Parts: sequence; structure tokens; C-alpha cells
Amino acid sequence: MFRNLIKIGGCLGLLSSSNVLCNQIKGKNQDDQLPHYHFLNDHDLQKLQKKHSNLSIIDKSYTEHILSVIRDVQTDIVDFRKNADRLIRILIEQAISQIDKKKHIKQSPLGYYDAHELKFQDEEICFVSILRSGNAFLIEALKVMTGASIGQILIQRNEETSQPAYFFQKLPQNIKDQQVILVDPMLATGGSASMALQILKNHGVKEENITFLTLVSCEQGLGKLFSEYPKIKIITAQVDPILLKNINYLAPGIGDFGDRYFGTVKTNKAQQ
Amino acid sequence: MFKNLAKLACCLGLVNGTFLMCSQLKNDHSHNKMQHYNFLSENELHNLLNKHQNLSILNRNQTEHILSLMREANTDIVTFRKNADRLIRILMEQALAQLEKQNCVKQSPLGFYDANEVKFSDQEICIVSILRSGNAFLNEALRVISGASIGQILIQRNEETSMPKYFFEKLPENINEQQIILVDPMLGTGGSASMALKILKNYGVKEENIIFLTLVSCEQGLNKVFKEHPNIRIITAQVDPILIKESNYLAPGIGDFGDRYFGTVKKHTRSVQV
Repeated sequence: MFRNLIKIGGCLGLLSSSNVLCNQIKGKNQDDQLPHYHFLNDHDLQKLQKKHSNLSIIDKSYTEHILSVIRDVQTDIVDFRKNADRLIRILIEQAISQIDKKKHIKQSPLGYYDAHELKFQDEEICFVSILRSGNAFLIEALKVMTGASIGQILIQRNEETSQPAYFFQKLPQNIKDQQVILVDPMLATGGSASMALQILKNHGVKEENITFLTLVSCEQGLGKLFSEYPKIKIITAQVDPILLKNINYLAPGIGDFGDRYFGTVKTNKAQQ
Repeated sequence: MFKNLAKLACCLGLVNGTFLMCSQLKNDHSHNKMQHYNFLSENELHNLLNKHQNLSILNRNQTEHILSLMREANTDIVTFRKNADRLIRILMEQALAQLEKQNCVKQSPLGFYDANEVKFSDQEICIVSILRSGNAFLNEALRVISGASIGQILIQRNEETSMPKYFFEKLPENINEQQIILVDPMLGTGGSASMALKILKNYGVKEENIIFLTLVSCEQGLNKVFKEHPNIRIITAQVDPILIKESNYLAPGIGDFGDRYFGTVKKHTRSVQV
């Protein structure tokens, strides 16, 4: 109410100091003086990796520039997509480097050499996307593994309760025989990912054959997934320090990845 | 001559035994019994990295499948290009990971965070390609750094003497102020790379600002380049064990990368690429 009085004062052309007061109050209104979040230090990260031996965190020299750009609230959609794609590509290459290989002998133009190649054909690999955000991974995934199958599971998080709700799935018939790479950009409570993993297991997929890729995660989500599915592998680009209790958002986070990547950010609401 | 006599005998339909001999001789003709090359051991690679502090070799897990497909003589051009591009992308990301960064504080939708970003804008980075093969890097390079400048130096290797010959260059005017990523898929003797590096230094580029990317290299090439330009950085996907003396080709190698990538492989020469 005070603010409104000031505004009226301003409009009525009262003392210029009203204008000054106005700004001060405006300044204060961004009062939820945004906190400064500090990333986990090397020691914390080391402990985390020790705790979860199936966890891989991509080396920060590859990711810190890219993540910095996509976290930045001012980054436009073109740069956001470009950098997200770069990071997704890095994650996918890491996932593939962890898939079983077998050895044989092949011939180069000059002679024979020991060849180590993936045990599996493109078609034996299935990218399973947790819609909607997970679909951002599919563009790069198909650039790297042009013949891979794509599975889709629609799970949406109820924004009030943070509980995941299942809507839909379309998975290859023989998915239990495939190497599965499950993708979802953010890992917060782990609720959606856990639900998706349950669905995969119901289809007969073995935990050892699943790699979960996520750009930004947090300890709680990682803890939950590894306790329910100890044999899966998880690869993440960065582990955020905080999971905000009330809204269950990662902080500093990226905002809503799906909205930012697909260009559906709501403009008049306060930034999530 | 003996072979010819045997052939004649076969044609004249002499005793079956001749035919048998003929086959044996035919097999013996692939007597340039192709060798089996063994890659360097972990220990040897370790020694190499210790010797050259500015050398990075990509992690094998990321590269062995891709390199295996590329090396294979039977691999078709589509697969070759696709895998070359994947590997080039991995090398580019590694180069960018090594560029200097600076700290600042930025704002995410939820709060402030410590941002560590590359100090240089796209335009301050120059990809210099050693034509012709180096141009294979440009597709992926421009996908990753869309605003980078591109420099080109045409150097061809004299196939008889293995000496590099300079033909042409086109470099940005202010290249002495840029971060350079010099690219050439193969590093054999190191002759061409070294020549290109001299050209860059003539333009005032400092060694510390140069990263050289190459898919397959060998010790001799690495030694030569590091000896003449000790402060550059080199990133390679794999170090081949042998540089064949006569032809100065890497073995097992990839064949002629440029021909395979650009689809200009000469059909009637022996499979030993020249």
C-alpha cells in the first residue's frame, strides 16, 4: 500500500524525492535479495563419487563454461539450445564410452590392428526419453547413433505436491534385450526418474543395462535413485548444492529446462 | 619367371599338380604378408605424456570404437565421415576445455552463482586448417564455435621426399591477437605442422596461444614439433606405434585421411595408400 501511495505521489508530480523513494522501495522489492549459491567443492564431489561408484561427473573443464551460459537467466534461446546441445553431446559420448566393447582384428590400408568396437549395433541401443524435457536429448542422440531406437515415457511432476504422475509410454517391444540410455535434463527429488526406471524394469530391462544421463542433479536425487536401483549407471554434468525444500527446484539450477529449451517460458509469472 | 611357367603349364592343362602349385604361388604373392601392428602399451603412453607436458591424448574409451571403424580399409565413406566428425567434435571439446577461463558472478532464475567462462569470444578464436585434410575439421569446428575465424594454409607433402611444400595462405589480419586452434588429421614426420607453426609465428602468434589438434600421430612427429615449438599444446586421439621409413606413413594408420574423407581415393592403386 505504501508503494501505491508513492506511485500516486509520483504521478501527481509531487516532490522529486518521491521518485527516489520509489526506486528505493522498488529496489527493496527485489528484496528476496537473491542468495548466492556456491557449488560443491572438490572434496564434497570426491566424497560423492566414493559413495556412489556407478556415478560419473563430467570433468568441469568441459562443462563449466557451457553450464555457466545455460544457467544465466539472460541467455537467449539460441545460445541456450546451442550450449545445451553441446553438453548433451558430451554426456552421450561419455555414455557410449562406457558401453561394453569386444576385441577383434581388422585391416587398415597398411596392415592389421587390434580393433575394440562396441559389442552392440546402433539398433540394440535404446534412448528412452522422459518427456517433455528429455526430448531435448534426442536431437544429438540421433546424430551420434543414427540407428538407435527411441522410447518415450510421459511423466509430469505435480507442481504442488512434487509427486510424479504417469501419463503415457511407447517403448520398443524388445527393450529388455537392449542397452538403455535413459535421459532427463534435471534430477531433483528423483521421483520422475525413479518412476521411469520402474517402468523399464517392468518391461524386463536389467539395471546393469541402464545408463541414466542428466545435466544437473543433486545429492538427494542421486541418493534416492542409487538406493532404489543400485546397479544402474548415472552420468551427470554437475551436481548442484541445494534442492529447495518448498518447490523442490535445484539451486542455482537452470530454471525450467524444458521451457527454456522449447521456448515455452511463461513471461508474466515470477521466474521459477 | 617361375610363376609365368607355372601359369603356362596351367593353361596347357598339364597335371593337376600344376594347378595346386599355381594357387600356392598366388598366395605367396600376397607375401607382402600384411603386418599386424600393436598399439602402444599403457606404460609407453605414460612415458610419452611424461616426456611432453603439453601433450594430451584422449581417453581410449571415447576413441577406440570410432578409430577402429575409421582405420578399417573396408569402411565406406558415409561411415568414415560420420565417425571422423564424431572424433573431431571430441577433440574440439577438449581444446575448448583447455582455453583460459575467467570468473564472474551471474544470475540464474533462482539466485547468483559463480560462473567460470572462457575468456574469449568466438571471434577471438581462429581455427587454422592445414589444407587439404585439415578442412575436414571445419564442419564440426563451426558447429561448436560458430563465430570463430578460419585461417587456411596450403601445404602439400612431396610424396617422394616427404618434405613439405608451401603453396598458399589466408589468415585473419589480427591473428597475432587470437587464440589459435591449428588442425590437421594426421601427424607423421611433423614436417607440415612445423612449417605451418612457423608461418603462424611469423605473423606474431605466440606459441602459448596455439593448440594443435590431430587425430592420429606418432612419437617422431610429436618429438619434432615439440622440439621446435615447445610451448604449444597438442591434443591427439591416438599415437600410432610406427612411422614407416620409406613412405613416412603412420602404421596401422588410417590410409590417406583426405582421400577417404573427401572421396578422392584413387581406385587402381594397391590398397597400400600412397
